[in-house]
Amino acid sequence: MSAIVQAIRRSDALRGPPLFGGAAGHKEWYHFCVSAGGVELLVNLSLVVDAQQRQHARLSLLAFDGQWSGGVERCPPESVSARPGQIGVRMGGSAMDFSRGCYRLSVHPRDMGTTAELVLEPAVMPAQVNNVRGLDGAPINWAAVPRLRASGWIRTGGVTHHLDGAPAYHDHNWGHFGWGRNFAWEWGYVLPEDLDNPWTAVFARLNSRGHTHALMQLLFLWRGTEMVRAFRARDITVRREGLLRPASLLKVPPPMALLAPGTATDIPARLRVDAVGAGDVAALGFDCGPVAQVIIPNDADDGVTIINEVAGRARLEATVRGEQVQISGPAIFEFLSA
Amino acid sequence: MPDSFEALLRDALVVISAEQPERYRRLARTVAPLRLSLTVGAERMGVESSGEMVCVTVDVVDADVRLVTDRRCVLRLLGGACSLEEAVFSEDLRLWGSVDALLLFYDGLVAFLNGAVRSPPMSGLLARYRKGG
Repeated sequence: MSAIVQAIRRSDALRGPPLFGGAAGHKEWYHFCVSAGGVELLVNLSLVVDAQQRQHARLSLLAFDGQWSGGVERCPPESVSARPGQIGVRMGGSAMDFSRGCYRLSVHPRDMGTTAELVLEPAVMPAQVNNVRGLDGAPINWAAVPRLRASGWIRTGGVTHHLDGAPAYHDHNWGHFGWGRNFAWEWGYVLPEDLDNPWTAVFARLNSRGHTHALMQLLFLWRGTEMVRAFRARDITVRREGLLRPASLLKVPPPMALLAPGTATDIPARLRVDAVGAGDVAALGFDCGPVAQVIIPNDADDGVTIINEVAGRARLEATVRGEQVQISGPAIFEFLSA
Repeated sequence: MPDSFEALLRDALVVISAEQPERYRRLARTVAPLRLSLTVGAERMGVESSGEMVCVTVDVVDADVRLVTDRRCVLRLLGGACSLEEAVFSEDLRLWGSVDALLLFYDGLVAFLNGAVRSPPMSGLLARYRKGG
């Protein structure tokens, strides 16, 4: 078993409350983004235990092929199989597991017009960031495998895209945090279009809900399979430049648009991340493009939390241990809005 | 007629009262001053609240707020194909009432929606309504 597979088996197992159905408020999801040339695919398999200790499973599926499509499928409890301690989950007609050193993703929701069968081979060691706290409430935990090679197919908009080693990103979040509490995140990845480029980058920041207070920020760089540079905290300066003014937005699930209408957002037109430390420098830029919004009712009030999935182009230039680094490629960045 | 709008509304109120009792009480208090008349295609019904309980009734005369739309518009709203504002401006959804009454109605609608989106059985009711007709 390779070191990467061993590390993933240690870091990416489903946490879950005991026997899934226990501690109220537990949230956990597996998240994948795949860049298949003509289409970007986002798959999120989410498990939640509500205040009445009932379990809910939802598949969020978004595809971007010049415009966003997709939706959120609520999967009945009898269709859900999820065992803490194991990597994977099955819900409705979709499933993810980790076997023979690869993630295997089978996505077949009803009535969304997009399906996929993918094998994703991890190409880098995972990173784990535990106990990230907002200004109130319980912490969020995060494990990421930011570079994988995806093979298989994606069918969307009547077109089948065949993949052979396409770049992909994966992460996994869990915790008892409540939607609507005093936090908002921004994160994204930079995967090279040139598959021979050994560099991979991930940026993440947790802010106060109004983006007035940065609580945690990081920019991680991998060279080959290993993470070789971690910029954190005061190493990093983040600028949100301009304001994106989309003419239209996809909002899912569609009925939530009745509570969050309109196209006004607080997404920047560009995100700029500069990092300096110990002789190394890095500059990450992301030009924000079309947006799909996953809209979630807040747990404790009548507001909503909007997860903005933003298609665009990311690039990173850096000097790390004297080596010049350049990465660019399509990406999906995520911006949380109140 | 299980797939009618009236059935959807009646069942939704039962679901919200069970799943989100606080939000249901807020809805009941908000619309208590109003007598509502709803027309969805060929269906006509009234909505009245005691302040504690919201009831779907036979259509009311002299309603404070009258809403007229059709099933197609309801499905477009539920499917995200148009906003409430667009439905009003296109006259696919028409409203009559005083400004004060319309504002109360809107507050009641938002209270209803906040209860509905936090009630898991609603997805089944919506699926049933979408399949009908």
